Amino acid sequence: MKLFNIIMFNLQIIFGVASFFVSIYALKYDSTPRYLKYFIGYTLVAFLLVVPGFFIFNFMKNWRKLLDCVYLISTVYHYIFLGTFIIAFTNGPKKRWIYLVAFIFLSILIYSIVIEYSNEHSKMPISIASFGLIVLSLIYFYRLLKYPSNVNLINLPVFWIITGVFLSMGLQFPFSATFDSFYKKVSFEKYSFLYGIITFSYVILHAFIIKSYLCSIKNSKKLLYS
Amino acid sequence: MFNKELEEIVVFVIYFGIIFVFFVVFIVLVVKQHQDNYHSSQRFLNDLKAVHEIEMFRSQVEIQEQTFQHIAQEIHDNIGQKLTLAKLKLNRLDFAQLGSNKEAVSDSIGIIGEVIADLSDVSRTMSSEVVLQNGLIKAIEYEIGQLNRTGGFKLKLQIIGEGAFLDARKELILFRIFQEALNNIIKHADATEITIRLHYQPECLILQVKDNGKGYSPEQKNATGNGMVNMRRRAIVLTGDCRIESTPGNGTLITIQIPINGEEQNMESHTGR
Repeated sequence: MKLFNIIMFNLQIIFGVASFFVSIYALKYDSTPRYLKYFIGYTLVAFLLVVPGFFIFNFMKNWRKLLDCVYLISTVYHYIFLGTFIIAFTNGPKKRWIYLVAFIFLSILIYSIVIEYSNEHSKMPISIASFGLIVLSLIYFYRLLKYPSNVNLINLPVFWIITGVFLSMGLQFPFSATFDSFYKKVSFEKYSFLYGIITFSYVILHAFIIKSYLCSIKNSKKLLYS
Repeated sequence: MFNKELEEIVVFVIYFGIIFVFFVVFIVLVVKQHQDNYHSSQRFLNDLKAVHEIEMFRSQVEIQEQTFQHIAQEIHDNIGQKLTLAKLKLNRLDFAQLGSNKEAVSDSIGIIGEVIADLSDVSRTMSSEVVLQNGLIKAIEYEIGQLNRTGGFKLKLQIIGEGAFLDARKELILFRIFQEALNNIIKHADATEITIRLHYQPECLILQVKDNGKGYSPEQKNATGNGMVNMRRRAIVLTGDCRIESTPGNGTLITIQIPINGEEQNMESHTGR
């Protein structure tokens, strides 16, 4: 089970690096949508976190506490970036209340980071961030059906990103929310396995980010050759 | 304790795995619903576009007919009459006093006479009166007579079945398709023989125009020129079908099939809304 955690962590690094390089490659095409160019802000931060993370996790175990602290704080950036991205592409009028919901979750997230800062094993901030993003994604999908736009979803890069957020947070939330109770009850090995599942959720997220950039590149090539 | 721990984790993973599967199913349902709406709206937009194109083309056909009628009228009333007057005045000249100019004047009278005859033919061709007053068959026979007289082509008409009544407007549109087909043959086919077949069936009328020209292959650059596009569109306006079969060296066969009792294309019939 510990091996499972190691594999998942390294897989997360591979996918994080891959999503960064694919996002850079997509810049080559002029017809890449502007929002995808701005999304490099997320893939770049992910890249800057996972690369040192790889070395610390595998070779510098003394630095793991620092790594956990950095990841905890990066959860705020992760939530704000993805949350505002989802709201920006949510269809329909009256988005102020959606921003209000997002702000409430952000406040709870920051509060949880402050109170759980000293508890290195706590996953409460991650679970709050995940839940907030799940709620925002559900609002996006609801409005997608209520105010349909005349576009083919399969060719829409933003849809793939938000689907990736929804599924990855959907996988992560139940585990991260109940993680703290398991940590006290089960052995280190078993709890590593659960940690591995949380890590795997980021693999899903980056896989969908790669998919969205590939979709955009495919659309650009179609335009080029049409 | 070890087994109890493992059991707890397995149960935990299964429960939340099922929740994740629900998430996936939710996404699939959202995508399916949205895509169904999208494809439905695309179909509606395509139908609207097609109907709009047909309406546009019907307007073009009407404007074209009015223009033809106007030009035919102008040729007959103004140009034809002035030329006739010029010919009369030239005929009244004292040929004995013309001297060396006699031959030139005589030639001019001949040329003017030919121009009057040609203009008269053009006017009749452009005018819809031939079709509206005499019917489709007579109009086609007249066109065939005109072309046969030029000596460059040998045309024959075959009529199969009993002639049926067609709305005058439909006969006019069909006649224009026939004229377009003839124009194409004259301009592009290098043909010498043209066979026109009018086949009256109980439910439909089939007009076929076959030539012995050089033919063409669909891959050729000019294979779908404006003339062919116009023929197809006119056939669609008549809720009919226009097929063109051709191979290099074997001439071309144009087949237009229109229902005898069919209504012309309009918005309701095309979109079903």
